[in-house]
Parts: sequence; C-alpha cells; structure tokens
Amino acid sequence: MNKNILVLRTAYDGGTFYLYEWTGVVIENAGLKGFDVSDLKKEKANRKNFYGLLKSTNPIFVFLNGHGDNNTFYGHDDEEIITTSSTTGLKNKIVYARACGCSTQLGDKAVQEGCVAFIGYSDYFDIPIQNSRSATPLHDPIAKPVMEASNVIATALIKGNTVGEAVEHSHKLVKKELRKILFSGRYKEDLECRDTFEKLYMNDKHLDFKGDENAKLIQ
Amino acid sequence: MYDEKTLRLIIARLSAKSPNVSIAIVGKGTFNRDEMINQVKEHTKIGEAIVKRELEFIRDMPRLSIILSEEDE
Repeated sequence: MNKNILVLRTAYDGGTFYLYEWTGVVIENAGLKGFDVSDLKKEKANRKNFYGLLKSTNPIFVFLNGHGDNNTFYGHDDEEIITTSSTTGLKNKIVYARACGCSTQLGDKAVQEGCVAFIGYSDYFDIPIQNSRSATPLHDPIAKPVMEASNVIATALIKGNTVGEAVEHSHKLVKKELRKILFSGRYKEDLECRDTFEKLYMNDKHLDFKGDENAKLIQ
Repeated sequence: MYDEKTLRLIIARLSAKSPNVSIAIVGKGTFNRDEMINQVKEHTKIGEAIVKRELEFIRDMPRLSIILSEEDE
C-alpha cells in the first residue's frame, strides 16, 4: 500500500514560520502512523524539488503550507509551485493546501484534472500571533486554537478519516473553541483572546473542499 | 474603495485591539495593531484587506450567534 506523503512548508515570514512549525506536529504524527514523509522545507520548497518528488514518490497525500491565492500556490520566496495550468501532477492525490484562496479556481481545476480531493481555504487564512511568543509558535496560546483547528484536518486524514470527516472535525473543533471563549467570558475580558476568536471563525468560514468527500488515505 | 465613515469605524475597532497581538496575513506580512491602523489610514492594499476582514466579521456576527446557539448533531 502506498503510504507516501509529500509535505511542502515555507518559512520566510512570520505567518509561514508558524505554518512551518505547526506542520512539524503533523509530520511527527504521520511518522508514528507508518507514513513515509518527504518534507520539502524552507529554501528546498521550490518548484524543481516539488515536481521531482511528486514523480519519484507518487504520494497519496500532498500537504501544502505557504502563501496562496485563487489561482496559485507559492513556495519559498513566492516561487509559483502550482498554478491552474499545472494541476495535472495532482492527479489521483488528496491535497490539503493551508494557504489563502487555493480552494477556489486552483482546487476546481485540480479536481477537474483528476485530483481526488482538494481541501483548502476559499479566501484568506490568517494567524493571530502573541508578540512575545512569535519566536516559539508551538507555545503561542493565541495562535494555538487556530493552528490546531487547521492541523486536525491533516491528522484526521492520517488517522484514516475521509476528506468529509476531516473537514467536519475541524468545523466541530472550531465551534467548541468559539463557545469556550465566548461562554467563559474571555471574549469580553481578554483583548488578546478576541483575535483568536475572530480568526478561528473567519478561517473556518472559508474552509472548503472540492472532489470526493469519501476519499481517504487508508483504504 | 471604502468611504471615510467605514474607515473611521474600522480604525476605532482596530484601536480597541490588544497591542500585544499581531496578525499574520500569510505570505503578505505580519502586522501589529498600530501597523494595521497605519495601513488602513494610508489606503494601502494591505489596509484594504484588513478593512475587508473586519467588515466581514462585523456583518457575520448575527450568523455567528446563530451557529453558536445551534444544537450539535
């Protein structure tokens, strides 16, 4: 059984550094579940390496972390990695793009060209950062609920959930966190917490997928 | 793009945010409260993106309250 995963994670500004660090948690989980992870990170997250590994490892799951828009996913230093005219490489794969906007035209095109399912965000993906914790993203209490809600999609897939279930896990986790913040009174009293609340809601609103909701990594 | 009244509303809303938190707009930069206010005041593209986000959240508040009051399945 193919258990190859291709991860791409950039780290060239504050936001991508947070994605980079939190993606490490997913990679660790994937390793524990017996997946073979190819990890394209920082300056190695370029077009040449991406397509090379896509061909040589034929991954079942591609997890993209970086900057994006409706038509393009970008790698290190904003190099175009996948555009609407280069989605054929995603054929027969499940893709999760943790980046702004990619689930729209890019996701549509990928699925039209044979990508099994494309999970992503239809608009922006923002991260609240506690200034004093910006060097240690995994210990940032303001960012943690937002990053966990997006990480859970990849970890749910790795655990054998379907695409639809993985996305639903994220929605449920967000709802639980929103309620916790609101009903504990923290939204009213804790200014920092408000940014967590608002970004949790907004990112979740834009979470979307195209393709087969019943697809999964483990058959 | 946005009228002055809207911009004043958003600047007031941003001013009420914590100075200890920044927002990373992935791939476009990280902005603390005062930087966000400056971007809005200077009518930059980032400023427009910030106004869009703030307005969307304000407009979604009724929807959000319905979502959070719904029973879980």
